[in-house]
Amino acid sequence: MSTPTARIWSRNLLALLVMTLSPAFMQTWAFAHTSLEKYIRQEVSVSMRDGTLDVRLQCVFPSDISLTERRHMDTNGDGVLSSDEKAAYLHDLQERAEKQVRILFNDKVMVLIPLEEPVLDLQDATGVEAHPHEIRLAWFVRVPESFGVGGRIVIESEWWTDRPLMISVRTDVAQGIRLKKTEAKGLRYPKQDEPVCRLLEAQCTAWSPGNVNRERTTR
Amino acid sequence: MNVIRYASAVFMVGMTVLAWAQQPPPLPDAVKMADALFQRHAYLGDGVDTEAVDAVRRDLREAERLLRRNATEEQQKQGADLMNTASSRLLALLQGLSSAQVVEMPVERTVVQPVTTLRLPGSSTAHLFRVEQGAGPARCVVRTIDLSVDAVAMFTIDVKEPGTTWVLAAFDRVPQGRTSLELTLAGAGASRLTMPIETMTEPHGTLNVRVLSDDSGKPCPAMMRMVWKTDGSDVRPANAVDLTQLFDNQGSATGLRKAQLGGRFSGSYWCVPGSFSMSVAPGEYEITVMRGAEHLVIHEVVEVRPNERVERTYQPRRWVDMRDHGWYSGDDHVHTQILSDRDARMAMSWIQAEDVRLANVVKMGDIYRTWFEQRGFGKAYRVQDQGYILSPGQECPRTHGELGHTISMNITEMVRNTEQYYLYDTVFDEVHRQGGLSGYAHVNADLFFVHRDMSINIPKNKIDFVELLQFANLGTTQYYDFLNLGYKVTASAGSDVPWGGSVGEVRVYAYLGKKKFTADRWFEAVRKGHTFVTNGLMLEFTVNGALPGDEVRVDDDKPLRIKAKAWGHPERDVPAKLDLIVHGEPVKSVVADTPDQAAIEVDFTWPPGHGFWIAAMAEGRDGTRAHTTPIYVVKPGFRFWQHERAEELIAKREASLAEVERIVAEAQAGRNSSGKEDANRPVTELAEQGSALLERVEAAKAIYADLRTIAAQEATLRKP
Repeated sequence: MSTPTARIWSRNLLALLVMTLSPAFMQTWAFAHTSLEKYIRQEVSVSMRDGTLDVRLQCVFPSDISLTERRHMDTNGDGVLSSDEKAAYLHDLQERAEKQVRILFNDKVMVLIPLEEPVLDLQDATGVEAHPHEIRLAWFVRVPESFGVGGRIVIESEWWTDRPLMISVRTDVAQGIRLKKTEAKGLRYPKQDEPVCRLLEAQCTAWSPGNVNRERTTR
Repeated sequence: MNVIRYASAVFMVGMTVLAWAQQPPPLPDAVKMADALFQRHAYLGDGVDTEAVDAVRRDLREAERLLRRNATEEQQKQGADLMNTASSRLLALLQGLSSAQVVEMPVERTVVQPVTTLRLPGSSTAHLFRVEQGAGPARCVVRTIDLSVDAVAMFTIDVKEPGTTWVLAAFDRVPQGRTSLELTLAGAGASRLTMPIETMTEPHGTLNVRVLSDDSGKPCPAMMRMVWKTDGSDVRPANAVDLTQLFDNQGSATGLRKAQLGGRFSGSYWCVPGSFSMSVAPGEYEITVMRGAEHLVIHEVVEVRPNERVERTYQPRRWVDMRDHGWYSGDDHVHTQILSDRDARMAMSWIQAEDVRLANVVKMGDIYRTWFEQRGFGKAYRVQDQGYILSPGQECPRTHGELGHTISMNITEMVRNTEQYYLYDTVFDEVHRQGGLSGYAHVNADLFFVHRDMSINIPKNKIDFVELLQFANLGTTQYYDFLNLGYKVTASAGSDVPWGGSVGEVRVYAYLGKKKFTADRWFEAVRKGHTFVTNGLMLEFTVNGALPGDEVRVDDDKPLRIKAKAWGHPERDVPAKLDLIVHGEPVKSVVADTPDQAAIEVDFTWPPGHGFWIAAMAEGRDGTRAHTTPIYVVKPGFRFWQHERAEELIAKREASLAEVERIVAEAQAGRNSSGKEDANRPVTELAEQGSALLERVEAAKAIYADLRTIAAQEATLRKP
């Protein structure tokens, strides 16, 4: 049987724990009047050819967030980022990406297939230090047969959406296809009730049906 | 009974799916092998179509994805089928490779093979072994051995399973000359096959490169990429400028600059300040040389043979010299530290490499501190070399959750008073007093709530320019709203390096006509609004001969002569469409007749009506954009605004002002802009400066109220 003091303590501790772990608290902490140097830059580029759409996502971490991430990579805390530690970090990223990055063709979610192994570029500082770094991931998706002029492509992400993001978008042209960006938000603040960030909303403005791999898109 | 049948069926389906999921892949590690062959070691596949390898690896990855996820039974089956067919295709590709060395594993004993000599094309290479170990399925093993990390020269690769194992052993950073390695294939049980390997790298060759200016014929800086075709690796030119030192640990802090350009030219480039000579592994090198938007890009594959010296001179040809048309390029937003002559030389090399005539090199600040320090400001601290100018400026004040970022050019000293940090007009006034120009950054994307301060200070005519193009993104929404209220604002562009890719990837051209190029004249041209912005295409645009930024006053209804031309070069980018925009809407659009049409021109007349603003906008085949500052057609007694939307546009501005009132109220209540208690400096300073800021808001409101009155008066006059 606990004493009243112990009960108050445990209640307070629980409240503190709940508050500390609540997304709202986390986001408010991250959001409040942060400076540009705390923004994670996310650049998404899409290019379409031969019935597939390649999606590349590059995230550039500013110095202080990079330091946090580097500490996270340095699992044994020796201040050196070993190949195994970097590989494990990238593996985690890939796993997270599968759950947190989505592509929609005309509002239908399509399967993003990893195209390349993720890349960690520590730029000119390879240790646990405050220096920007970047990660690069690539996927591809089979373009549905029904896609054509007027079709809409949306890419959504929940990656680091509890941090302020600077988003830029590039759409590459190939073989008579034009993807017009219809939304490039530029800047995104964390939102308590919106963990999903729309990285890209593009509309197809020209289309050559020959680009679609009919055999593949029946899948 | 039905329940039992149903449960049995579910169980059987589940077991089938589980069986598919747990079935060993037909060719284990096929994805790694296909990736390695496609991305780095395509040279192993002599005569193999890389597109075929790419198609196989995509199918393998898709199959892997289908099998790995909690997919439906049908998807699992599709995955298994796709994995089977793609694996068979990869196996067929591997079997067709003549470069594969066949080795037979001994049974339960160790065999040391005679020395195998591998002649490596360079410091990186790979060798493919087809390891036979009795009957059994095929599999792949890919192993990369970095000899700069693995000091010991003995390596073991497991090939324990019976059957055929395709082993791709890749070696990175192999020393030059002869190196003795010992590679052991560890088979089943005690089977060991040890292969002493003597790697012999080919003697290096020497590559001498110089880049000449198309203007002077003399050596000049350039942006360059060198790819060793053997494995697709990027080679850093020997004298590449170490730009990292200029970046204050900010942004993308590396000398390898990613060009944010359309399609073919995207990729990363080094800034090379002049001629260089370097020892390189023999083989073919794909060299790309760029010199900014006005030059064609040179692509060349150069073969370097062992012990041979290859001399290459590149002279990127101008497809246009905008100076001949009176236009001079600039970048209003370049962050580099310049504290020494050495810093200045590096930054100068960069703008010369990108052929940007004037860079506004901005010291950056916020309410706490500054970055990208400068030696000083004003004419004495401009750096000039061969018609290129670095001119110090500032990006400050910058507030991120409140009022946005500002840019100033041609200042004589930094203007920064944190006790008035939210009173941007104090900075604009001081900058103007110094003879400089003030503007807003990131307007193309409406970053950092810049529309709020725009609503306060544009109607007070405190602003000269806004950034309309950045990060390859032309954004006109905010710009058009202010133009449509009848305010003149000049279009500008800035790369924002090191957050952006490279200096001049977006640029603002200012018109000097036949006058000699000087920094003062360039700034004066921007002040007059004689500009257009671009990341590729070029634009010319006149109304009755007047230039962008000019005012054309009309007293009668005589149609105006409007001429515009967008042009490019088929080897860079060409215009796909040219729009003439009046009050934000295209009134004339011309689409290119053919994909390679180098220019689109329009020449038409348009009635002056009650006045308007008109601008030219072009879109390139590769997605590049260009946009002019408008020409303002003014009829006495009328604003050049979009009168029919005046109320809506004024309401928007008032809503922005209400946002300012809200954040001031929050700050004065000790809360930040998201309504949370906050005692950080931005909040306390905003609270402190709030009443002065609100006075400015009131003054802006009065201006908008006057606009309402004017709109009502004009409504009567505008009736037909």
